Amino acid sequence: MLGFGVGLRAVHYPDILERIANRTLCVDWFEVLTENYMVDGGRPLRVLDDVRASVPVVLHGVSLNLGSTDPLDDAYLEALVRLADRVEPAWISDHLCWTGVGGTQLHDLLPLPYAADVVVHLADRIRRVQDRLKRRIAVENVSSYLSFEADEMSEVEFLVAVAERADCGILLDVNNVFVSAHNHEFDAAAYVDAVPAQRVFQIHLAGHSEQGPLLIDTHDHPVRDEVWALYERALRRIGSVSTLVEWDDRIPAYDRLEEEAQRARLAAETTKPSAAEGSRVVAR
Amino acid sequence: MSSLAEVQIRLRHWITAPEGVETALASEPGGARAVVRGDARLSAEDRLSVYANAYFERLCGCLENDYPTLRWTLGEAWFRDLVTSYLLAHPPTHPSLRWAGQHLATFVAEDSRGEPFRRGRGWVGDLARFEWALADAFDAADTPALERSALAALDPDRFAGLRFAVHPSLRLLALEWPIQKLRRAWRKAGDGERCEPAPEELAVVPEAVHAVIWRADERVFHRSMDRSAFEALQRTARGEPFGTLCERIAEDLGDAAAPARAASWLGEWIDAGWIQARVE
Ligand SMILES: [Fe+2]
Repeated sequence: MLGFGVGLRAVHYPDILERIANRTLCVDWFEVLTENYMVDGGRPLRVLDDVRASVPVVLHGVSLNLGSTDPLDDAYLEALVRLADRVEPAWISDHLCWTGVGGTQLHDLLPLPYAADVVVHLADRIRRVQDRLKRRIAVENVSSYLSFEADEMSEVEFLVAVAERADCGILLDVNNVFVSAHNHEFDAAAYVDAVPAQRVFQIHLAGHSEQGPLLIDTHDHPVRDEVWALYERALRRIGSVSTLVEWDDRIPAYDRLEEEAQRARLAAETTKPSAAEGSRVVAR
Repeated sequence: MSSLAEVQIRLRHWITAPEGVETALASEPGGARAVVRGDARLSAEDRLSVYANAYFERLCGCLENDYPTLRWTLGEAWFRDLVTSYLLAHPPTHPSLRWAGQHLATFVAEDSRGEPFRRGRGWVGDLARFEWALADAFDAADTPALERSALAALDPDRFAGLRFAVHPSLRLLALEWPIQKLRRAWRKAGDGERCEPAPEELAVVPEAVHAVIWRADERVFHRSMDRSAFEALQRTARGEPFGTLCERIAEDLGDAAAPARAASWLGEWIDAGWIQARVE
């Protein structure tokens, strides 16, 4: 359990480095967007090294393209291995989605049909990635705005089936659960209750916004009250779990971000788990 | 997985369709509904549009970030049209958004589909090259730079055969337009990236400019150089030994001045951090 963290964003580099130097940092860890650091050099990598020297870091990717029917991208995996060797992350995560096909990158987290053959396809690819990285990865449930005629099961059934079959970790984004529950009219609480607690490496909290009848996962707002409530429900079920606040657009002052992480800490301290914690599945 | 592959290819087609999801779907009635579920709140087409809009807006934002002056000189509507045409010719193929704009300079300068954007604005190709080079310099590899003291330690007799390598962040651009003028005008407009440039700010005339772009202390700098020094630096970057460099300078400037000139340039380059510590 790493504690409570926020995303490492370039606009906050000076604030974060200053707080690390003064020992006034109020978060326990940082999550970094993997692809932003798959570069040759310069400031991003230097800052990452400096931060990592004091605080644990998790590598969170958006382009592993786990659900695609394209072959796994070998060059990408190679770069990921190199970055992981450099950073020694607590774990590596990506999303339960596809992000490109036929060689085109759509740079978005696209949902998959929730069908038995897709479970097999996805779990097989996660296993191959885990073998390559020599560790378990955590896969995150995404916010989605459409579903498929080919769906055979609910999203959470799909998530559980994939995680069990791949024997991987789960990054439970409770905001994404809330957003998708609204967009597809399913029960967010029942979703959280069905997630295998021992596989949850980490929780994501974030803000969303409204667009017509849909909720959109914009990461440009504070976490909404309904999402805090869902977080507390997850905490009762999962127990103490590493938690991270995402804020990627209209990014506020760094202090505001830390406040949000502190709120998560307080929620965790005041929420009693409903059952004894079982043994956890770990990254390695 | 053929059915999953088919679903993904069709989604990609709809999401990247330059004319928008609705028009793309008009040619295949019922096409989206066979794949994507709609409901009373929102049709399958509208749900797909969320992803299509996000695709375009995300890439447009990324390119705006990489090419802020180009965006300013073109104005919002033209820039968005340029992004539409560009994405059609060069959809992103790299897993990082960092590389989405890598073909824009060539596209806007050479591709027939980029012609409307360069008509009456001959500088757009040079401007795009320049801004891409800035982005490239920012995250180029870290390599120790050569110190003057290390140079003094080298055996003078070996000098003619030495090959100096330039820093990986160094970019040398022979431009036909005074791009830095446009950059200054854009900067003067300040954060008003939304405000349109005045016609006189864009009234630049062709002018040969030899620009060098590099990173120092994690920041990216640029300046213009004199042509002979620029060409000598270019030869150095290509790995020509110092002796050949001197010969070329001699052809250019006359024999007597060449060795002293070459040594003084090399000293300036070293002070600027343009030369790598590794010397062969
Ligand atoms: Fe998330």
